Amino acid sequence: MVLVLCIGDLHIPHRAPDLPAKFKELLKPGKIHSTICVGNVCSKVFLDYLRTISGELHVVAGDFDEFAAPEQLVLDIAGFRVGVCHGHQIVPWGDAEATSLLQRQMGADILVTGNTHKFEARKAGSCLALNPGSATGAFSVAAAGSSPPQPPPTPSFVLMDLDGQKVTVYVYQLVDGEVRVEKIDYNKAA
Amino acid sequence: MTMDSAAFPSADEQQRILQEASTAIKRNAFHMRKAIEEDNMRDALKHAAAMLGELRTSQLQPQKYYELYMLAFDQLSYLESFFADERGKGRAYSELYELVQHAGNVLPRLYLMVAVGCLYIKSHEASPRDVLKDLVEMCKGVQHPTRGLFLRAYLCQRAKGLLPDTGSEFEGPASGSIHDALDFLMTNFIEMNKLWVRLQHQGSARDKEKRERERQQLQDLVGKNLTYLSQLDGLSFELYRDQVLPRVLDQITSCKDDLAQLYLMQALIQGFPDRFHLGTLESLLGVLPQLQPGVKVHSVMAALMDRLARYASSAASSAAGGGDPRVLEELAAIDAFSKFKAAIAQIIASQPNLPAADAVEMYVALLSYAGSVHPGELAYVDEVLAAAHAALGDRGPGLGGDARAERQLVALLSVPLAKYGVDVALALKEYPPLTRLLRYPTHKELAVKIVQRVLEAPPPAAAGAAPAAPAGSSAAPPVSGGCVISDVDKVKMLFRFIAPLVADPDVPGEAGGAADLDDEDLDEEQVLVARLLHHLRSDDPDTHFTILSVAHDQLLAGGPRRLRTTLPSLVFCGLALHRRLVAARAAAAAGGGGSAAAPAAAATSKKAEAKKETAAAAAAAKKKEEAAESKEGGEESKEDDKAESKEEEKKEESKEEKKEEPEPAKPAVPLTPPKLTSEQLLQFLLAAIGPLYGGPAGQPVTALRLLLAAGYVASEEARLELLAYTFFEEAISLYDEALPDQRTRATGLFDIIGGLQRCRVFGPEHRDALTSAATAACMRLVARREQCRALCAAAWLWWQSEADKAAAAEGGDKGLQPPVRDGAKVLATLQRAAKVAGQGKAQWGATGRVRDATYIGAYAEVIDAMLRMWDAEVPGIDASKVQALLDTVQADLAAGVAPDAHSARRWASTLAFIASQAAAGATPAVKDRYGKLKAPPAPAAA
Repeated sequence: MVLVLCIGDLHIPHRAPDLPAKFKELLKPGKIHSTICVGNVCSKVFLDYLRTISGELHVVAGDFDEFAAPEQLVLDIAGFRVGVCHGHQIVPWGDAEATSLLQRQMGADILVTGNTHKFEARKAGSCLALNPGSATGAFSVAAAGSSPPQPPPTPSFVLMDLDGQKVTVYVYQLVDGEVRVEKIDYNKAA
Repeated sequence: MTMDSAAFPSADEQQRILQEASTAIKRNAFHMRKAIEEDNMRDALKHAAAMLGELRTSQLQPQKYYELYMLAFDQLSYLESFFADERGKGRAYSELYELVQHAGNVLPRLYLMVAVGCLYIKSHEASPRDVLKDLVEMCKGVQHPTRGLFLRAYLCQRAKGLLPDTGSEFEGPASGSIHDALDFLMTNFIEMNKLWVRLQHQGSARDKEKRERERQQLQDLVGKNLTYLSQLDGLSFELYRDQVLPRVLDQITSCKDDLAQLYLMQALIQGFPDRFHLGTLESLLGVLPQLQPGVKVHSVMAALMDRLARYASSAASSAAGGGDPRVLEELAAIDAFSKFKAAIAQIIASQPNLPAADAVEMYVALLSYAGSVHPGELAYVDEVLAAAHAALGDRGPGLGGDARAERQLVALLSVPLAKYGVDVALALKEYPPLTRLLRYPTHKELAVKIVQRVLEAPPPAAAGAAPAAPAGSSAAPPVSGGCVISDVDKVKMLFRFIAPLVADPDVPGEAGGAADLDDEDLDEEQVLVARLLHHLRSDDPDTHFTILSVAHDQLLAGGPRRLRTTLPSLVFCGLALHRRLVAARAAAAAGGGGSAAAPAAAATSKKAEAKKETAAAAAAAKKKEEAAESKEGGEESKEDDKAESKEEEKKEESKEEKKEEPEPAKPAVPLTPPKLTSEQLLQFLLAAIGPLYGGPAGQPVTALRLLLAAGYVASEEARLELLAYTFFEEAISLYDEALPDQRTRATGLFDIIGGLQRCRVFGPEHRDALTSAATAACMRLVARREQCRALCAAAWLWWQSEADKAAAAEGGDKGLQPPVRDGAKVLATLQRAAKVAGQGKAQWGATGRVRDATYIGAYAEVIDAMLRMWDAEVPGIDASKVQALLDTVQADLAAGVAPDAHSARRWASTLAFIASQAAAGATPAVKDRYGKLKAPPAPAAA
């Protein structure tokens, strides 16, 4: 069993002043094996902070990141092929078909993307497409003009528990100042 | 006196003397106890006197002498009980008192007289008044400091319970009154203090420091007198004020001894009740400037203020539980605060050598006093800060380079932050001038703490429970916590509080400015300011816009290198404001009319209004820019501020007027539409992004992304076609002119395409201009594979989502064009992509290099894109078009083209996808469609 933190779109300092204090309490070092960051951290201070959470940090570049990082990553974690990409490169933005095309192109069992600032876990065929949302609930450009108007994004991140054929996804969301956790189970295609 | 100033023997020698004397005491004590057993009064007294005679030595330092004293003291108790027994056998104390006076030496005689005298009083046979007076006077016979001090300590200790205090068994017309008790203790105190002061002249001058330390250890012997005084039941306030305090203060000033003055002042303050100090504050404060220059007056002062502050706060907090609520009133009535303030000023003026740190320490104490006695009254805090500034102002920057004083000043400046929170402290007008006394780097450290406090302050308990504020000027804190500054004046003030984080030192040549930091360090520092910007906001859009304008001016004044980090945050604050502005307008429109037709009407009137304002806003913005550019812009920006606050007032007025209009339908919340328009705000943002294009603040990659974000908001939220066009136009120019390398160009282009793809504000003309510019930009990428990928994405520019049909039916897409769905253009773009792949093939033909066989991957890219368009049922995309591409690749592979691993994998994945859709597509139609394609089976995964 391997615990993987998926987090991204912090946008600090551009769009948010800090991570929610309650998330910081949860993200204490020691419990998590590795961290996947889908980008848009936006400052070195918080990139360094992410490094402290677990032994390894895999990070891709978001459209507002200035540090050097790859556009895409394919990782082997606990027998899963995990693709990582920020997702602003996907046209049209957030399009499900386009996302699964990317997943197919990367040959990933699990694809982790960000950009939409909305948590999502979608099963397509044998694959899992995961978006941890924005850890700070940062302003989302793409929500402009949506009708009806969308509420501000809910701060969220995801913990994946990879265990043999099984993926358990824990979603942490900050709703009305309280952390809410949901659990979703997936099985790798039989 | 000659003996006084003689040096003590060496430590070893003293040890030897001590040992010998101890042995003698023990030997004589043995004989004394033996005589007591034998009931031999004469011998007992003889040996007692011999034992006490050992205390006559002047060879020992006070500490060693103390050991000897304790030894004798223990033995004296045998003698005392023997005397008591003798009385039981009929011998009167008057006789004993007479008898002991025959002892030959004065010191043993006085010890014995004290021992008997006290028993004499206890037996009520003698008048306490007479005996005590007798003893306290006779002790004057011993003037050697050590010997005299210990003798009087013995007297004080024995007489403690025998004083004719009010209500005690020893009080009476013949035996004495509180006045006699008081006289006894006062006399003993004064004599002891004199001896203690003289003790400093004993021993050699060489180890003066050590001797002073030793002398300090004896201070409580003297202080005991004051303790017993304070414990007298009969000591009324009047007696204290008229009899005790003047004599103690006189002794303190006249002894002219640093150690005694400091100790006795502290003993006085700590020893007597608070309400006594309350009534004699002036006398206490009056004596402070008369103390020796070496006395740490500031600590006395601080102790006094702390004491009264604690008194006040405990009285206030226990008022409900029977405490004294009048204490605060009393303190206010005598205006203790002003008295303290004046006393501090006088001390500073009268002691030119007083270290600045000590002066500041007094103001720290005054501040905490003000906080306890006048809680929540900021005027007092301001007064303290002003007084500190007045007292320290002429010491120059950094308080003349005194690091300790600077630290104290930082402590002083930190008190209001901790006590009241940053938001409240921002009302302190005297704060910024005082910070100017810090050196720039020190002030910067304080500024960092201030910012961190704003970012991390725990939310006030009350506010946590309160529901979201209505359309007031406050704002809920961000989800990350901290506090929000929502008042324009406070925001201005905040920038003065944290001046070193936003601007270089204004003293030329002072260290710590941007020029002294490398990019990374400056960025780290400015990230704090950038984060802070999210805490400066108001729920009222007009106020929020003014706040952003103020912040913008401040940031511009800080110079280009700071802007690199801070401007992006400002822009996003503006974009977030825009979203709320649109919501506020919609709410106002809905609240005002309440019918479905209202939003449209409001929107049109908004447009007319907006046009009027645009010109004015642009002019104002220009003026502001000029003000910021000119170096001595302080004056001008002040004028600007005034203009702004006038505008504010007007706004308030207009709100008031509207409020008075009766609103029968919705009486609850008066919703006036904000004055701010989308144009105004977006123009502000367009100007704000400008410095990032290039030059010293240049961040072209970030600028490109900001332009795209703002352009998208201008299109979808503001629905202002020309402004949206301008943002995209600027973004495309930046792509052409300023992006540094192929990789950033490629990703930048995807962002342009991604944003543009969803924009629906553009009419055909503008849309064509932008889409053709974007498509042309695809061809300016160098690698064919990249060109191909970009074109496949660009194909979507002609195929927009129809997902919002429901919203469109309700008028939600007012001001937007219908979604573009042009199959011919999609096909043309994909065919262009196929052509590029074909050019790649030609290139491979020319070079024969394996790396050029990536064109296979490019073809796979086009096929994937075409399959998706096919799935989206774009007219004109059909099986034959897909098949043609599949055939091309198959033919080349059959002819022996060996693609690189990546391209091979891509090709295999495409084939696998086709096969899986044909076998298990989501719908029969999909199965059928994919089943018609003739594709080879996917090769086994490599």
